[in-house]
Amino acid sequence: MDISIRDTGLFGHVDVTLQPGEPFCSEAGALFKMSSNTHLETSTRNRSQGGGILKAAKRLLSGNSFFLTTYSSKDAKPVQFSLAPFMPGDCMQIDLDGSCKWYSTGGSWIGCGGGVSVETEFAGFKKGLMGGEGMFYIICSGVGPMLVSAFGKIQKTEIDGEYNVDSGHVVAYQDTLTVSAGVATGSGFGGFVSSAVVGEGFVMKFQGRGTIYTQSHSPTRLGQVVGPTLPERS
Amino acid sequence: MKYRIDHGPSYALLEMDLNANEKIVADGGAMTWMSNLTASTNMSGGILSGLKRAVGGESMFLTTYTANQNGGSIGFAPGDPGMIVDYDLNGDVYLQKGAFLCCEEGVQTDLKFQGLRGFFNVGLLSLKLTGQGHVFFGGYGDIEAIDVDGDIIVDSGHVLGWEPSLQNELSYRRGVRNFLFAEGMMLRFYGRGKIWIQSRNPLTLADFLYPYRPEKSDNN
Repeated sequence: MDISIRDTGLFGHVDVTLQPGEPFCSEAGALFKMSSNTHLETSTRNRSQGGGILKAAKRLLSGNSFFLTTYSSKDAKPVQFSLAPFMPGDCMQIDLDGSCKWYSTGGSWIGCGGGVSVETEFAGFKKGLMGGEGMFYIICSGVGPMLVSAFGKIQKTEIDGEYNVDSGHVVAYQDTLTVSAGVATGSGFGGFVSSAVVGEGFVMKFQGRGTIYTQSHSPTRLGQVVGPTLPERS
Repeated sequence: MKYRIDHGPSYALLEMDLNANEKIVADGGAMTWMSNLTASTNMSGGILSGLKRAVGGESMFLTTYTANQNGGSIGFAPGDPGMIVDYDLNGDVYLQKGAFLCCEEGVQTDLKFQGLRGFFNVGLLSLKLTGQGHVFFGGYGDIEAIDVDGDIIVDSGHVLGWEPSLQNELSYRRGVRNFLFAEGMMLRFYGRGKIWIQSRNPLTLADFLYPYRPEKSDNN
């Protein structure tokens, strides 16, 4: 497996060459070109969980149409394909060493290969709905490469202690960090209200030691800025 | 005519210096700035061609810029952030809806129906450019030119243009749900020729923004 990230200014994309038999899966919408000997299987099922309509519907809600596409070779020759997000921004490879799991937000995750397995997790009311981050997280575990994308630039931060991130800016983090949702201004109900009034996002409070990747821009914010200029829903 | 493409691939801008009386024909909205030029808008090729262009995602009117006696200069940019490609046309080339920026005088534009395979997606109509001269077009994201010898499969929303020596067909995938939920249409291009692929899909961005539209107010 050869993964190369083509970083061309604002627009990173990922070129993958896969030898026959090597496992790889991606978020279904990320694929944009491929060699004709590539065999695709797009499914609502993922490796470690059951499938079915409900699960698929849940995945659909997780920011992207979260269907997994698995790749293989039709003719025992290597296959090539390219993956890209739809936002202008970076793509990045995170190499998992098996020591911990990685959480990635629904819209940021592109794919993974090798011995990495994928699960989805309902983020719950606190972390998800309120956090505006899509209701689902993609959890990757095992050993191998995982690919994520960002709206804008990706920034890496080593947390030791406490770190608060606006929920729309989270790309991926290690599960050695404990996460809770909160608001930036004050605490308790007062803080909740004032945050809602100011239109400030909800923050995710990270505690412990671990690595987090954040993105310079929030897709949700773009939606909020551009959305009102679009015609009304009929 | 001398030209340069700056600030690519993120925010490519095309700038040109024209000699006296030289002409450049551009899509209505593509001009960003101009100096010492005269602009004239015409429905090139008559009303029918104009209407067809409008359906094809370009302006109904093409604007012709003519340099003054001492020469002039002009800048063009596409509507979305991304790269601009120049192509030295000698014959035909197809461009995806909305990609066309401008061309030299010796190039004619016409619209071509691409049949059923585009019916469900952006590629219903594409612009066919014919003649001799430089053609400039832009896309969302970086643009990769691939010399196909054999075949390649590309998402229809990422195809920007292709040489007519390449044939194309719908490359169906297993099951309907791929089609409804995921990749959209995958097109297989085969033969020998060049294809230009943009690394981002404006349709997917639109899909993402769609749910942010305001709710319909009850007053109406």
